[in-house]
Amino acid sequence: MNENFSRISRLIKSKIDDTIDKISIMSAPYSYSYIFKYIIIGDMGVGKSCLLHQFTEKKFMASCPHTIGVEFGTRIIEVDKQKIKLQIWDTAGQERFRAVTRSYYRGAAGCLMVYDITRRSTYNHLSSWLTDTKNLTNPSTVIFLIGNKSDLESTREVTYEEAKKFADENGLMFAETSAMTGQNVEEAFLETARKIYQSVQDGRLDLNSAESGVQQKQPQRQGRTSLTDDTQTNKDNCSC
Amino acid sequence: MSDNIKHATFLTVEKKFRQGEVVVAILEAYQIVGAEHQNRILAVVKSGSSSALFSFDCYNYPPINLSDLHITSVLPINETFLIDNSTAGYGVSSHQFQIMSGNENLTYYYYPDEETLRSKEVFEKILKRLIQEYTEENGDFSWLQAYKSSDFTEIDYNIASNKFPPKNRESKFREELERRKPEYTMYEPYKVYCATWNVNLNQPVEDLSLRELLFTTNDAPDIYCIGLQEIDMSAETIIKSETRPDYNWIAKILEGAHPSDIYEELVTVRLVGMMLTILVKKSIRSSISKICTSMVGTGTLKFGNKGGVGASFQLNETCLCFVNSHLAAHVQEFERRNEDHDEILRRMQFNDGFKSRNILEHDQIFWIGDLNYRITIADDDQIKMFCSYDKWFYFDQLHIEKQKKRVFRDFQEGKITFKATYKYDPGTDEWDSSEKSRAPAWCDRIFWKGSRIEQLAYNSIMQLRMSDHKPVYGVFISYILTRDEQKFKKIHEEVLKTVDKFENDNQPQLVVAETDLDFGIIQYHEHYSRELLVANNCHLPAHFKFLPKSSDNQRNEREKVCEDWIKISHPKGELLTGNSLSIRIDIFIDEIAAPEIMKKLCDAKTGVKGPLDILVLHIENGRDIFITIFGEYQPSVFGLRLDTLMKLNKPVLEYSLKELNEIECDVNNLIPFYNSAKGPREIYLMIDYLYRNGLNIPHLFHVLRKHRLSPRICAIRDWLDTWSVEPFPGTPQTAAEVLLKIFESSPEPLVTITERELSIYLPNFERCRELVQNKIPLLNRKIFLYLIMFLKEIQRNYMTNGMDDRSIAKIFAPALCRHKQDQLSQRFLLLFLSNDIKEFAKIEFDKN
Repeated sequence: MNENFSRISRLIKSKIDDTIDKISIMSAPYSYSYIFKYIIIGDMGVGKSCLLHQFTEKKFMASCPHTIGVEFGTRIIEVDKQKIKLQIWDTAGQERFRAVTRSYYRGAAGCLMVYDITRRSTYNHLSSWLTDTKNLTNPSTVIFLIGNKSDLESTREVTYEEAKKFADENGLMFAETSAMTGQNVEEAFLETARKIYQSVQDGRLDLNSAESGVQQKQPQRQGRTSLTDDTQTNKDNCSC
Repeated sequence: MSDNIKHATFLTVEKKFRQGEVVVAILEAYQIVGAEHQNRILAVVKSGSSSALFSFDCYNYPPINLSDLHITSVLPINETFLIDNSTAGYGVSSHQFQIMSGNENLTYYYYPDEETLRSKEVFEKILKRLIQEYTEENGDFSWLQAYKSSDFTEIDYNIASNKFPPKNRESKFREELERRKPEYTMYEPYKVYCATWNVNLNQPVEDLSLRELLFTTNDAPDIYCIGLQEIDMSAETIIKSETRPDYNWIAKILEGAHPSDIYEELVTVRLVGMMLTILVKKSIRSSISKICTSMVGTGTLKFGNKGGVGASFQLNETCLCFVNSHLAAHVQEFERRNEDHDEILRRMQFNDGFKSRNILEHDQIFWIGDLNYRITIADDDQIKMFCSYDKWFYFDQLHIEKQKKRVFRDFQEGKITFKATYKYDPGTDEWDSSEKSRAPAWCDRIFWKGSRIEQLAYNSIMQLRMSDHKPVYGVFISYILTRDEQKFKKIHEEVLKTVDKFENDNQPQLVVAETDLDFGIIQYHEHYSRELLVANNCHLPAHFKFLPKSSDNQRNEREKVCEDWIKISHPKGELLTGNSLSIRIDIFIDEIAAPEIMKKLCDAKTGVKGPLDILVLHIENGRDIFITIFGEYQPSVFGLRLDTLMKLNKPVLEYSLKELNEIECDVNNLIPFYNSAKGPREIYLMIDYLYRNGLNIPHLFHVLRKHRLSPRICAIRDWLDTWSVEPFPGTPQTAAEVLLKIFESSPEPLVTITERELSIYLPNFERCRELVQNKIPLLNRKIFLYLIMFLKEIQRNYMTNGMDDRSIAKIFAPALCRHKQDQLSQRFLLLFLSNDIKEFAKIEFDKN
């Protein structure tokens, strides 16, 4: 009786061990658990591409051509010991592309809205950028307001306090950064991710919805095929 | 490889190297990558006193240019360098060999033609000589630094030419982690204890203790590998091919293990009489993974009374394999034993559910068992006298067969210092005294293969007397590759960063010559085209396509890539590295596009010079490029509302877009008609011209619209748009075409009656006349009646122009009514063509 029992338990144990081995092969610890989609928006020349470059390469691009389209960068970060892949879409700021870039907002979990502290006009346009963001993203999208070029203090046209007030009034996170020195750049991207991750933890973000901009580990699905890709998935998810 | 080609190849390979680096030998080979075979050129290169083996991917064969050769591996010929032929025949091909150096282990295949076989022999000889020549003092490999490539952006032709997909992030990650393995791993010693015993059908009786066999060392071993043979050979177990482990024996083994540590049974595998049990220290259990077992029955019936059982597992980063075998018996059967050995090697596969590996695909292999090889010497009594193996060494079949490389090729065995282990009278240390009086032999043996294994002991145990065999044990120190978790964590982070960079650097990129395409002035009915030059200057193949833009108002019909009047010659495509493509963008404003573009321009309010459209050129897995189409559309009478035409008091070209827009939007007719005629000037001019010149022209209007694209239409357009006083530049046929186009290009149809309404009132002429009165605005009504009167005139000349009312209705119905189906509108027109409308028209014409 006793012997039988130990034999069986031994058998079960070896089976379980085997299974654990197999599982550990399948879900190798290398990868990441989530993908967050970010977009960077704001007027032309405020330094959106430089911010992205600084974040992904830790370098300042001194002569950065205007983005004519949408560029694409990724980086894996860690939040709460979770590996998260940020998939960042850097959009063209020129006014004439406004209509086209609007189609990239959908499904963004984080939105970095950038203005140039040395050009008041870029700050004045924020409300229009904010309207677009509110209209085209979902309510849980984290919006981070960035006043870039903080290294150019001498030609500043927008004070920190003024922008801070605007951010507070509109419920935005806010920081002044410098894509040149790298000051606060890392923090802005990471703070946004932390806030998104918090929403995921609190259940405020629906992981099943493509609109949330958060995917739970699907490493195979890189890139995209169509701008309307997200709607497609959404349709598929729809149970009606 | 013929001598000529070989010589040419040699010269090309030589060019890859710097001065002072001498190519000593080359060999044509191939590797199997995925499901493809890839050409390789192996080259042995000497620099100073050190040498290395280079493996080239051969993009074009035979290689002519330097760029045809791409280094895949650089292997320094140092103490770790090994060329191994032993896998030949057990893997994919018998023409293969393995090269090991450092942490690299590569398999190459070669072609079995005579030339290659000969060069392979020379090649191997040179390699072996260089291995021997290597000493630590002359091992300066710094010159190899120049050939180390970890640069991700280097062109890999297999990927660039789209033969292989670029690596995805995950596999790149694994590859990088594997490449840097030496940095976070080190070798740690583990004690491996092997024991083999043919128990001759004895049961593990109560007073039996295996302590004497398993507890011979001071330190507790980390791994026990115990192989038993003949635990049960009853007919029943043989027929059933019994595989259930014998727990009585396992219990004995666990009892017998070193007392100063706690062991657990890792795995047991049994086939009939053979059983292999692996015990491990409890403390190392968590470092073990991928445990699998395998068994092979040999002999004629493959029942498993002879054969082998094996276990495979991974300890930290090292793959270990243990085999317990019982080979064919009887003195003269050594060849069958060789065959059994080969069969086990060939058939034993360990499958962990993801990967299957054979015995030789392990880092360290321990092969134990009753191998049954005897001593071939005529006089049995003479053997019984002996004590030392040294003396009988040359008569040991196993030694002889191994020397001839027929068995246990590349395996090692320790020096035998113990008495033959077979055959004793059970219970004694006396040689077999039975009638058969079998000659003694070293049947029970322990072999190993793999680097970093040291044998500490190899002996038999005389005191265990219950069987006719004495058990044999071997103790080893085995160096196991182990991960330093702290270093691993650090390198893991670094690799993550490199892979991030890899991913960002490895987006396919396309360069476009210009993102703004200016078409200049665009006129109705003219062809325009511009070339968009796209080039792939990156190291990856790029797939591109033009994406549809989802518009602001989301539930928009179908999403378009661009406006209908823009045509893209390559809506999608693929560009390999170094290639470029000229994508042609065509614009043609026809009668459908004319009102659309007018409306777009009026809506945009950005002035004439604004972008006409923006195309999104998407590169798969990469960025999107916006291509802006600029152009200045020059409004024409085509595309304007009919009442707008009535209101124009000067040529259309003299109006600004803004003014035109105001007139177009003047739905309530606040702006007076400039022209008090029955219809717009343009329609009047065409009809007037046709009255005078076209009535007798055969097929003036034709269903096929043969003059649809005639260049004269542009001339007529200019003539109309400028109110020219020159003679009419067209022909009756083109004038007819223009007349149709004016109706077709107006934003709204002339006859504003729906299909449904027609279906109710047809075929009653009176009711249809009322319909015309009530549903068609006065201006359109006048134009309609005017047109019908003209068409009646054409019909009247049927004898000369061949046009009857049916064909006229067929041509004009779609242009005037624009219904989905033309049957009703044709019948409607026929009705008016065949009834008298003079009175009706007269009344209408007089209205204001």
